[in-house]
Amino acid sequence: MSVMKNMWVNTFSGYVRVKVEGTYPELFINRCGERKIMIWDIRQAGEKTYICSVLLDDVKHLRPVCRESGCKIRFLERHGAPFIWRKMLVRTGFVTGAAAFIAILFLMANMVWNVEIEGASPAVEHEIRQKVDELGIKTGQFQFRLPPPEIIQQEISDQIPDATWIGVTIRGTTYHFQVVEKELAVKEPPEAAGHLVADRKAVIHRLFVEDGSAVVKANDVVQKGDLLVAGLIGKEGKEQRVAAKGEVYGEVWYRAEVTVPLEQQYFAVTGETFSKHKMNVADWTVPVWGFGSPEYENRKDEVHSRAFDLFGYQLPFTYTRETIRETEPALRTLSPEEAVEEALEKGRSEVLEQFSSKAEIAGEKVLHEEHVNGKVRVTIHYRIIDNIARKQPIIQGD
Amino acid sequence: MKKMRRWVKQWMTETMELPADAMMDLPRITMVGHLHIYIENHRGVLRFSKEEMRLRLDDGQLLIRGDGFVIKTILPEEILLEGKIISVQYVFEN
Repeated sequence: MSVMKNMWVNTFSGYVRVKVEGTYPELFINRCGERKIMIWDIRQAGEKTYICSVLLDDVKHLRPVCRESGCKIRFLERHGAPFIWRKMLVRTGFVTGAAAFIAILFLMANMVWNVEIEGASPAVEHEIRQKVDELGIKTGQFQFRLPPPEIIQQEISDQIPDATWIGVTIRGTTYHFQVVEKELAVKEPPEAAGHLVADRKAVIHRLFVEDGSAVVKANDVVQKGDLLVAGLIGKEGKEQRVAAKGEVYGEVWYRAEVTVPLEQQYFAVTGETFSKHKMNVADWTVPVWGFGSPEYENRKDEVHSRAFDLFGYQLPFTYTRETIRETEPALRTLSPEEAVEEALEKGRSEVLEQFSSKAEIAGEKVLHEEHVNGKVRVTIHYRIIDNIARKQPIIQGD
Repeated sequence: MKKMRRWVKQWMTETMELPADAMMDLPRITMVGHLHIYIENHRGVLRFSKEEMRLRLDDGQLLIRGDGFVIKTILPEEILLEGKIISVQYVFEN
């Protein structure tokens, strides 16, 4: 069916709705057909009136048709691209706005918005940043005014001797520099020659000497200030001074007194909760959900905050969720055995706080326990193994 | 003479089994339910209104009745009519 052409094409070339009036308007339809003027969507609008669509290009051929058929025509509506186009030309502001938007979008998309340097130490990063700046790669610069990444890579690599390799990639609006730095063996600054001495009275447990010569061995009893590792090596008389280095672990005794009450009051959550949701915009707090305050006698508040970020930039919005939990006081009664157990546990953590992070408890023993005023007082003896070495410089002329 | 030609055509179609519409310039009507009617080989519009459409044929008229008629497309020999079609009727003039 050749008639079933896509009418949508007409929207492109433009068409008008025409009102045809005459004594015998059917004649108009027939005459149009004879002259190959395309008309469509013909409907009756009155006794002797039709409304139909005519292509814009055919409008100028309508006059003879009207004369022949004795009809009068009136144009009603205009449709299609040519009219929209004309309308747009009239509304210059709208058109310039749209054009400006596209232009700005294009320019912004071709700008450098960020320069990322990854894998470089702060010093090298600063250096690269300076060179990159000199090349003109900075926020606001247009990408098409910059050399291609391969060239940048070459130039930057030539100028930064500390980097083994610098990879340059463009990720959208971000220039990304991947740096692999030359790794030079780090030279430790020479330490002053010195001995290691005991910093407290202890029984040597084990020792690990990196530099220097050990003076003590395991199971030796040392007093505070006793020499552990000497900073002199070599034959007698021809000794060389070094900085003694190592770890000497000694067993230290420690006595702790821990008191634990037999009756303990604590707060337990009842399961009743109340949630509040808030949005924070800069310093303003706007409650979103959950207003007022619940009437809990005892309560525990939990606050969770979350910040929002867009493309890696933090936005000045935060979301806060407040959970208020109802609590009720509860009483716990301990038996004397349980109290001692708890005292031991409490003692362990308390004791370890007194020593270095490498300290460990080798043994514990309850020396004494007494019950007074509903409390248990426990005296515990601990054997602790800790690093007891302390540096002592060799005094010149000693 | 005209009658003679017509008789020959008719005889040819019948004996040679040729399609009647092509040989004898008869209208070919296609309908899609009561919604569309598509007529080929018409000879012009005699009457068109919301409820009625009268088309000239070689040997008479075609009368279509219904409601809400719209001529979707019209070409010299084809017409596509849309609306609620109630009846399609042949009117012989001779």
